Amino acid sequence: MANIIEVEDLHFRYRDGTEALRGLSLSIRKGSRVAILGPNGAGKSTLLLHLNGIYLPARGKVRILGREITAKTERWVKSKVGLVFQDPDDQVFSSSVWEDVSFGPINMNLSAEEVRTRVEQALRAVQMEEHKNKAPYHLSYGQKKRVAIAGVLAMEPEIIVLDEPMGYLDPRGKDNLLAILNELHRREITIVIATHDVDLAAEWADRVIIMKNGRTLAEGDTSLLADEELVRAADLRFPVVVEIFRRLPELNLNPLPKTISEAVEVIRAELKHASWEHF
Amino acid sequence: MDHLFSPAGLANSALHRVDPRVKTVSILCFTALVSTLTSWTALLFGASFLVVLGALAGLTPLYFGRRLLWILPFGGVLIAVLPFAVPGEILAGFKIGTHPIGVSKEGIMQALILFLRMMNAVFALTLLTATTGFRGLMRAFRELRVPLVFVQLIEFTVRYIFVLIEETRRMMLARRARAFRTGKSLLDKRTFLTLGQLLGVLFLRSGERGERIYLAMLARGLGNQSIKRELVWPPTRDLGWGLGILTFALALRMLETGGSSWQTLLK
Repeated sequence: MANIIEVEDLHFRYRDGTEALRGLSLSIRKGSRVAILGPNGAGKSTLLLHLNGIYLPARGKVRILGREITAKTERWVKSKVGLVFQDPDDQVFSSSVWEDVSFGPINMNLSAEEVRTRVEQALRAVQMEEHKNKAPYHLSYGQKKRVAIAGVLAMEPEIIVLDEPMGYLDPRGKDNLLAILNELHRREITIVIATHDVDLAAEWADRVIIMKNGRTLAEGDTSLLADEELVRAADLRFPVVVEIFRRLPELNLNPLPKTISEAVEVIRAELKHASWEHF
Repeated sequence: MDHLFSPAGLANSALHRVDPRVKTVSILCFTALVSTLTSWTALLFGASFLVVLGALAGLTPLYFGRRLLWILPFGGVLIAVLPFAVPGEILAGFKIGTHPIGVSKEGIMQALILFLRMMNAVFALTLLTATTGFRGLMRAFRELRVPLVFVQLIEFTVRYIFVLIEETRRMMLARRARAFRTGKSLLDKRTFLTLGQLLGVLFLRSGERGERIYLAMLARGLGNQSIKRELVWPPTRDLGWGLGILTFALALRMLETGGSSWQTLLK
């Protein structure tokens, strides 16, 4: 499968002199679920703003679907890469859910009929169609988050990028969001999340990118999250499942389980083994 | 706040169904015309007309009265001062020290007129907002070509006022959690300092939030659209309503300019 996102030697400096990105390179495959991890100030949010063409590369290249992002293509890329901000109050600004979700499609100059269909579909996808006439301040945090996602879905992007998607959500809200992300993945939309949540990354992602100081520290599958050296270097911590099995060296596990399902499997096998020995 | 803009009364009265643009223009013109009236009888007629229209839309006089109470703290002070400030025939007087203070007949009359004008304006806007709702009103403004930046300013204020109130509440709570006591006089230096800082932080945070909102809007292609929304001429029935409201205001205005003849008629 081809790379849908390619970033090469990307540099970015804010006006106050902060160097947020210092030669970042990464590539993301079409249809994958990617978690970008890294401590505060690693440059995750700055990178996300580059993927959608809000910031243009000061040095280096960003290629989406093979096209380089420049002043000429930045409008095009906004309909290809949907960006979901961390705080839905920043994103959902209109006076009704319907109006907010239609903001993107209207900006794409679609016909009124097309806008209506897309808004309806997007609201259905996040199960918010019955709230379409509500004002955002009447919604819960989780509902606002879903409206923010619908606002991006209505633009029918091929890539959706979410900044800290689970932040402040209650357990039910997290489950709902996870279900939505899984459904989007099933539709072959590439999903990129920036997060501190190593458990989410271990459980959900099929690819992990670890950033620090504006550079890529490592790229690979979720086994990176069990790599002691890397985890320490990136100021992260081990996922809970990994942590538990790290403390059980007597099991001689290699690789360590990273997800709950893997853990259950290992425990079940061990139990079976133990009961055999018992007999 | 929510209450202020949400539609009220019968959900689907004839007045609720009138095109928002027609309502906006006719009621705003009504307000402007009626505000120039100088006789209290004409002003009372104006207010009664609005209450009758309200009744048709399912709004009780109490609803109007309550809205008037909201505005009274602002206009009320002026109305209360006028009888003392306008020179004229003194009806009652007293002295503060050696300084005589009197209530003048002219002052009372002027205060009454001012109150009635305010009542007309508040009733008219109440009728407009209650039968149109916030979104209808904003759409009307857009379609009437009110500069977009003004409309957006109103929309953003309404959208974010709750976020800001919530933010202030959280910040106050965080200060109280560390034993800051509210309710002291602003003259208390620490209270002043703390609240001042809180306000400053609120401004900074709002600025930052504004920036983030703008980025989020850019991310969804802000500034890309060419508005091609087709404007439809309002139906004749709606225009009739608007014309009716305007005619009533014009009639009041003309009757009043027409002189004292009609007032003597009433006497």
